[in-house]
Amino acid sequence: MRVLILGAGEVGRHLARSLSSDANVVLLDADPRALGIAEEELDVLVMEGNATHRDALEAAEVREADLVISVAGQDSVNVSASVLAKNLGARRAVARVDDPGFYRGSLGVERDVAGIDACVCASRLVGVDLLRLVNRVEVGWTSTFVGGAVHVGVVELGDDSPVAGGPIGSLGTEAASITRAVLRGDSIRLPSEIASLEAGDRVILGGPPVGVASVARSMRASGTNRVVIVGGGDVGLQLARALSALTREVSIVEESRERCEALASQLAKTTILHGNGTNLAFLREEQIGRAETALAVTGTDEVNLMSSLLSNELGVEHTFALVHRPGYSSVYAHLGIDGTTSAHEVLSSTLQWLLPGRTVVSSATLPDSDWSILELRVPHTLPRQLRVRDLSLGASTRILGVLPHSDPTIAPEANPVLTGGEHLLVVCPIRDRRSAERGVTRLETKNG
Amino acid sequence: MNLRVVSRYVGLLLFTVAVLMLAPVGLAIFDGEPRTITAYAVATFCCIALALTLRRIGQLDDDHEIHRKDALGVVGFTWLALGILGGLPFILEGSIPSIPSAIFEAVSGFTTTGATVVADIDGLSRATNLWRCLMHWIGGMGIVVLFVAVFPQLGVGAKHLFKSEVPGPTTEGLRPKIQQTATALWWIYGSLTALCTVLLMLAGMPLFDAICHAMSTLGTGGFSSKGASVGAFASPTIDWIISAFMLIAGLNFGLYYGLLRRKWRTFYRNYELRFYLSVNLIVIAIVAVSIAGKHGNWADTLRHATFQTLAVTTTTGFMTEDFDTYPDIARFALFCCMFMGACAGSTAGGLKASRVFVLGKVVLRELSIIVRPHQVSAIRVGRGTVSQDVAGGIATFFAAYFFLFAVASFLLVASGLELMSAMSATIACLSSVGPGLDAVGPTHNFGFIPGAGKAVLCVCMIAGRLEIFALFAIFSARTWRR
Repeated sequence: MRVLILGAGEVGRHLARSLSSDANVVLLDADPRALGIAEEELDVLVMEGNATHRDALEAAEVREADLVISVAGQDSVNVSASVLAKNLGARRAVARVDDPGFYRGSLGVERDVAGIDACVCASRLVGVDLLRLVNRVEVGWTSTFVGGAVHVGVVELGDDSPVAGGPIGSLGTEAASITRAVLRGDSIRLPSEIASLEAGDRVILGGPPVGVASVARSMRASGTNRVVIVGGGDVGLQLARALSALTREVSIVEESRERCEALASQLAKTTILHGNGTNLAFLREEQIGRAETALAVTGTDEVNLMSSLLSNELGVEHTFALVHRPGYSSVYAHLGIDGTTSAHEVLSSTLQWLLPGRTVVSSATLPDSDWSILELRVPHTLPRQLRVRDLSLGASTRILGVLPHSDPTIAPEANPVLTGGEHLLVVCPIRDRRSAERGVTRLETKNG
Repeated sequence: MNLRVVSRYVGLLLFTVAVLMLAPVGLAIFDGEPRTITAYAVATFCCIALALTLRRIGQLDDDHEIHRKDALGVVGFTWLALGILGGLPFILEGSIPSIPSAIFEAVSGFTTTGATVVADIDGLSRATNLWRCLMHWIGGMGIVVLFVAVFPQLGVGAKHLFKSEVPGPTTEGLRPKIQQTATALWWIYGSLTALCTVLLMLAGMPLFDAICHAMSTLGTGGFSSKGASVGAFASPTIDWIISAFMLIAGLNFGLYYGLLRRKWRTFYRNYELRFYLSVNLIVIAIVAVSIAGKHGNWADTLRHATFQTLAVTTTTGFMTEDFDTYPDIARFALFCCMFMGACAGSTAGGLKASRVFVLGKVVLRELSIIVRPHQVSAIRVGRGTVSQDVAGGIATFFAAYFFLFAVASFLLVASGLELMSAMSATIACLSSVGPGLDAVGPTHNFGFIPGAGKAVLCVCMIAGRLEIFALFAIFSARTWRR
């Protein structure tokens, strides 16, 4: 597979590194210095040229590219370069567009926009990933699927759980798109197979990040009440919106007065604090230490790091930070910060998800069990009309949900008709992974 | 430099050499020459033993990633080891009994210089002649490039290795991955060699000589299986075929890849190609005019002028007649061409045409700045420009090249050589041409030079092949710091 990456900045180089083992990567940029670094670090072909110039794209053999990823510094450049690349014959094009106003939804990935196969918003994606990290404090284990659009969490029911003894159907009435299953002992059971939940059951929840967190919260006796977000940019805004549905009190600390006013007009239930997240006196005065969770999401690594350390010092239990420079996550972990995310990592995992060709798009193993969750991609064209239950994925494999192409929400029907291009979320024993995969790849071979 | 990583990969590279050494073993068995069989079998065994020892030392370390320093070490040490191991069969067989001479012959072989110490080439065994030409062929495209092509999954380390052996000014990859680039280059190289062999056979050359001369030509080496070099065949057709393939080997192999992909424009728009061909045409004209009276007709004059000029500008060093007997103007033109060499990305040595061209442009720009100090102008080459950094790098390379030339010439004069012989021997080795002028002219050999002088020339040959910095980097203290 040939991948053309437009933009050799930090993100472009990180993507090139993560893709270069599976694909032939060509990196195009107008800046010879950035290319010099890439040339030194990566086994890829670097080419000097402007991503929005046809000559440069043709010289980079865009017609032969299976995937073009535009990750230059400007949204407009990325959009026009992607459209141009598609016009010149690239099979697929993905553009990084960071302006949240560009998107209809709130997930950070939108398919088929203006001829571009997918647009990805780094700030939205890191927001969603931070939400996953926050959820992990309560849920215990989480993983992401469908390019970050679906979170899967496992909640172990304690003796004091408010839902123990009740029917599983009572869970998630507020979020219909949450799929559920129960890991009881060594076996997986679907809601139709159990009468009531018991203490010790491990409930698997899958769906949109906020929905999963909200259902998980309803299953536990206690949870996070206060969250502080340092940095009121788009990431901070998205997090505040999501978290205010889950916790009692959300505060944002933002240094710019104008931005604070804008935030205050957009967030009714959130406390907006005008101040510096690295000013100890200010943080003390605002009793930041009372919060259980702090998230540092400003645009500067130094501020995020310092602010997280100060929050820890003031008594915040869990601190999470946004990291801008790749490769620094281990330093944060070493300093006692519970979790980090970065635009490079989330963009790279989302793009891995968008890459064509693979049947198993992503997978995760459930903790302390012999089960794993797989995301399987159904071929775009099917030999005949099929229903999900017609697929033979292995005797013990259970289907958690079906996601139609270009819509990252789990279909409400239990046994929908497959039209091609759907993503299946299945749970299967680790030893049966191959047979589950074969069940889907078989459709392709019949077809081709 | 991580010595264990270096040791591991030098071991693997020497193993590759051992495999290639099986070719002369096979030929010696076919010819039924017991002494030659023993010599090459023992040398192969020594190569394998050293390779396994180095691999064993390298295996103790889990860190397999090759960094830039390690790559320089791998390439530098491999090339030093090649000289010793390549010369071993000559000593064991008795064809070149003196150790410095045998090492000189092997270094001259692998660096595609083609300077020989053997007076009676026609008396050598066929296996030895095959090994001499095979060394040229391996060294032409590069043993490390072959290694990178054959061993996948070296990642960015492969790129460092590749660039340490092919440090020329053209760094543009042909393919996205360096392994694919190396494979493509070896395919092109191998196919051209096969084509050359077939054409030479059609022109009447025996199979063995055709293989030897094709390998020597494509590697721009210069060793011949005949004492009188290509002149021994006395065939105008063979002269023209070898002239054409010397020129082909002297051009950037990346251009051939472009041709395969039907990028005609990149071929004929290439500024280095145009410049290099122009220089050749001018020198051929100078040589042809100056030797016009020597041959009865223009056809022979043109053939010899073209052959001798291309033999020098492509740094091959074959001959159809002794160019040292030419008038001084022709000798001087050829001497100057020894410095330039051929195109970057070819198997030839020398400063490289693109560097000379860029430096010429820099000089012109400096002149215009003296006249109009406020004028801002770019260094234009072809359809692009060269940045100040690149121009600076080229100037540094020139300085280093001439510095090495001066020091080595001085050492040779000090060891007793006459001035013109010393200077031409130095540049003939540094640019991997092979024959020089006067005492080291095409009809003479390097055998008379004392051991110390041969050592100096060996350093020149390896430094020239690795474009100076890769060799001297292993002698720098900074490279050794981990």
